[in-house]
Parts: sequence; C-alpha cells; structure tokens
Amino acid sequence: MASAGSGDEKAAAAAMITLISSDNEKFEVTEATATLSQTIRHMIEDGCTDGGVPLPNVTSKILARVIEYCKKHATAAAGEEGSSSSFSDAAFLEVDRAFLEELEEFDDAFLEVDRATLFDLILAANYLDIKGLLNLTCQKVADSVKGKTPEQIREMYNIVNDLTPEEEAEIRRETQWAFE
Amino acid sequence: MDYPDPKRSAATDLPLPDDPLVEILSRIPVKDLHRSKCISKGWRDFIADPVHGKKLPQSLQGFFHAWDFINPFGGSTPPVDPSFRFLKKLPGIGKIWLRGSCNGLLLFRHAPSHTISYIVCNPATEQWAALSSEHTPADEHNRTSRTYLVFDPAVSSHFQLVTFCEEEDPNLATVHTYSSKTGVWRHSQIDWAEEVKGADHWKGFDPHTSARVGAAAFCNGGLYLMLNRYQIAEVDVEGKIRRIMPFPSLVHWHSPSHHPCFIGQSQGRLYCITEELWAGNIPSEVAIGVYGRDLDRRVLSFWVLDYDTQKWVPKHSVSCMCLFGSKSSYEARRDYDVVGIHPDSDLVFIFLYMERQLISYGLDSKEVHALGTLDQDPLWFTPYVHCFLDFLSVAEHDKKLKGDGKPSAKYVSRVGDHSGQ
Repeated sequence: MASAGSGDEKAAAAAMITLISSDNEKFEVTEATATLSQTIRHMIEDGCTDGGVPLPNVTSKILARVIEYCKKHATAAAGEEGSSSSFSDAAFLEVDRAFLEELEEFDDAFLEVDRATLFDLILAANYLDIKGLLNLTCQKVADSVKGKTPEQIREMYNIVNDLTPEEEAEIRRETQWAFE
Repeated sequence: MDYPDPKRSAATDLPLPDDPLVEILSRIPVKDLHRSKCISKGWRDFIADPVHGKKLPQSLQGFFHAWDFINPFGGSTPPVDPSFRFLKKLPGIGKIWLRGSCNGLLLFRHAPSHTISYIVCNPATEQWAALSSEHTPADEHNRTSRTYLVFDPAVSSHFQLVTFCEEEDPNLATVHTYSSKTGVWRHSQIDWAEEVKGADHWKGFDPHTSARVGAAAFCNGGLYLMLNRYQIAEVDVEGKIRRIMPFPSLVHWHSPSHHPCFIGQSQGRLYCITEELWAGNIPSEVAIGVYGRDLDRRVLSFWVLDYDTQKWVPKHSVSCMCLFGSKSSYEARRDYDVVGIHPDSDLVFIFLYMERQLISYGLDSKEVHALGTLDQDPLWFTPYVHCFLDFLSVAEHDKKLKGDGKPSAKYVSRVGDHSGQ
C-alpha cells in the first residue's frame, strides 16, 4: 500500500520512531504508525523524539499489541486518503469495502484477549491518546456489561456491594423504570 | 478474576481511571446504566456525578408542575430549583410561565411581552436565552398561538421554536419559526384545507392545535401535533407540514366514542394513546383484561408509529376497568389524563382527577403503581431530562451581537450563562 502512495507518504514512511516500553524493550515504527497516537504526534511536533520515546506506563507485551493495531490502521488511513483524492469509481469503492471488511475482521480478532489484557489496552490507548483503539476497547467492555444485572456485574469484576439495604432499595425505587 | 492493580479506581472498583470509565459507561444503554447504580456506592456516585453527566446518557428526572418538581419515583431533593430563582432575579425579567420542554431545555412565556416574548433555559447549566418580541407571535395579541420548543442535543446545540397562530379563517394558520443558530424568526402561512386535500381521511373538521398536555411530541426530527380529534400533523422545524395522518383506532377513526389521549416519544419511537369503546376486534395477544361481558367496555390502546410503513402498530390494549378499578366515575365519563410517557422505558403516567392521584402503568409489566397526589391539575405537566451540554455558547452569541452586519443581532436581546455573570 505504502509503495503506491505519493512522494510525501514515502518520506513519512522513511522516518522511523523508536518507542521504549516500561521494561526497556525498543520498538521501531514508522512515523505514520506512531502518529495514530496523539500523544506521540505532539512529541514529534515538539521535536522530542530523538533517542526514542520512553513509555513508562506501557509494558512490552501491551505495546507490541498497540503497535500491531496502529500499523494496520495506519495503512487503512493511507489507503483512504489515496482513494478519495482522485478515484471514486465503483471498482475503487469495491476495493475500499473489501478493505474495510478486512479491517473489521482484524479488529474482532484483535479483541480476542483476556479481560486483564483488555483493560491494559484501554489504559495504553488512553495514555497514548489513540482514539480508534480507545473506542474499540471501551465498546468491548460496554458490550460485556450490556443487559447484565448489577449482581452479574459485581461477580464479573469482583465488586463488593457496600450499599446498605436501605440505600439499594432507594436506588431501585428511583430507577424503577430501568428494572421493568 | 482478580486485579491487584494499583490503578484500580477507588470509585468503581474497576482497574481504570475516570476518563476511559466514562467512555465505557457512555456506550451502555441508558436503562442498563441507571440500573448499574445498584452495584455499589462507588458506581452510584460515579454515574450520578454531574462532572460525568455531559457524556453519560441521562433519563427522565421528573416533571415540573405548578412551580414544584414531581419526582414520580421518590427522591427528596429536586435536581434543579423548580421556582427558577436564577431566572427571575435577572434584570429586566418580568413574569414567566413554563410552557414546555424538550430534551433538557425549558420554554417560558414572558410578560411584559413587548420586551421579551420567550425565554429558553437549561436549568442544569443555568444558561438562558431571551427572545425579543419584535416581529414575533407576541405582536399578535388577539390571536391564539401555541409555541413548541425543539431541541435535540444529539443533532445540534441549537434550539428551534415553532409557533402556530390561528387566523380568523379557521383553515389558515401563520407559522413563526425561530432558530437559535440564525437568531431570526421566519414567517409563513399554512392553508390547512390545501394541506389535507391529498389526505383521503379529511372530513372537513377545523384543525386547531391543542394546549393540552401530551398534544405534541418531538420525535426523530419531526414535531408531531394533535390537530383535532381526528388527525396528527408532522411538521418540520421550519414549520412545513410533512404529512397529516389520522389517529389510530381499533374500531373506526371517526367513531364518536374514539378519543385521542396522548402523543409522546419513548425510546426513539412515537407513541399514540387513544380511548374508545371496545368492539370485539382487538387481537388477543395485545389485549389485557378486555372481555365482551365487561360493563365498562372502554379500552385504552397504545400504538407505535412504524416509520417504514407510516402505519400505526397496536402495541397493547387494556380495559379502563382493569386500569382504574371499578370506580363509577370512570364509567360515566373520562376523568383522567395521560400526562406523560417515560422516554427510556414503557411507563405511562396518568392523572386521575377524582383521587387527584398520579399513577404509572407499565406496558410490559402490566402493573399499575400509585405515585402520589397532586394539589393542582396537571395543566402544564412538563417532563424534564438533565442535559449538561452547552446549548448556546456565550462566545457564539458575542459574535452575533457584534453582528458582522447581520440583521440577526437584534432578535436575541440577551443570552446568559449564569455561572459567567
């Protein structure tokens, strides 16, 4: 995909950024991949990425997954720009659609992780300010809570019910409509 | 599974900081969200915290009624001051009357009307906008007019007013529309006879909008108005009639026993509630307690508009006997009003005049609950949902006031943000 891009994209692809995880592992990524993170984008704009970007909040295990996501979606972003600029015929739309489907499949597979990893991905996406990844992972957690009773949610996340029976009765009365 | 994570939120016991938590909770359906207040103290307080209110879906807080706030489900403190002191103490404000609400914003009529005709305010943020009365419906003192507020924070931070003024010729109406985006009133005329010519259910009844509670609803970008006993008009925010449709009926829409009670929006769908004499043709799967032998054969029916087919679909019917008990007053004449529908559940609110009692009826649960009594008739029973969004930013208004030569400047005389004053 990148090879079919414009000269500018090639230049961007050539610029590499080094990301350093909390356990000191180094990851070389293209600027296009790294700038999916708003946090890193700002660091690049401020010129503070020489010698690598330390990410003390992100482990190598999680950073590897985050980079995997960013690589895939950076390619998607480049693809979109390329097609919308000059081509709009049916053949290209067809290619776009196939690519979007592929991206959706990638996202679904990407979310096949245990709950601890999912929360770590949310923390990383939040810290690195990666909108797409944050949306994706938060939606996954929201889906897991949807339609569950308070008891089920407490059990899922080991939450202790510290409401007195009176307090709980009051909430149930006030939100009676939601229990219908 | 256990999370020995130091980042574990003290508030909700989840291993996440507040921002992503709000992101997650904002994606949960409103019913599930409010139900999850029962999980723990932390969850209850987190969801109720106004700081998170901008992003979390809000639901019906209750109703404004006679300068009081009615929370049908209990709760001692009203979410906002129901006497609107913050509005009344503003300079230049005379008398105000609450005349409607839409998704968190309230509409007030103002007197003296030669200075300010309407005030729109968000009681949650105490923001307000006063509309000057120049070239507006307030100029036409001798005409009956009804004004409707339209606001959908999911679509725009701007609100609209749509006013219908009756003319001497009952077939004509003048429509005034105001948009807070442009700051100007627009005027047009409607010829009802022309509008309904195409509709084959037109029987020559004079259309006139009703001031009754539940005679108008805003749903999916359309304003729905009861025109008379027989018809509902769908109007866009420009005041243009999109279509005129008959009320749904089990028997026959112009039967003398047919009585439209209410239109309202719930869960994104338009509901219509009608009362009529039962004629034995109710599908049994939707009818509850309706038997041919009943002496009281009056039936309350609940309908939902199917947007694809533009047809009313019967959701449920219940005999008035079943709903109100065997009280004679309900057999002789209609002595109740449907005063509201819950926007996020299938609860309908009904006021019984004899007992002065507010009750709820669940369309799914089929349960009736007594909610309390009201001293005054629910003439302007106004539903209220919190909305923490800015509906009109001061910066935007300032730009408007500077004018850039636009004629709009004089139409909004004042816009306020209480906290900024």
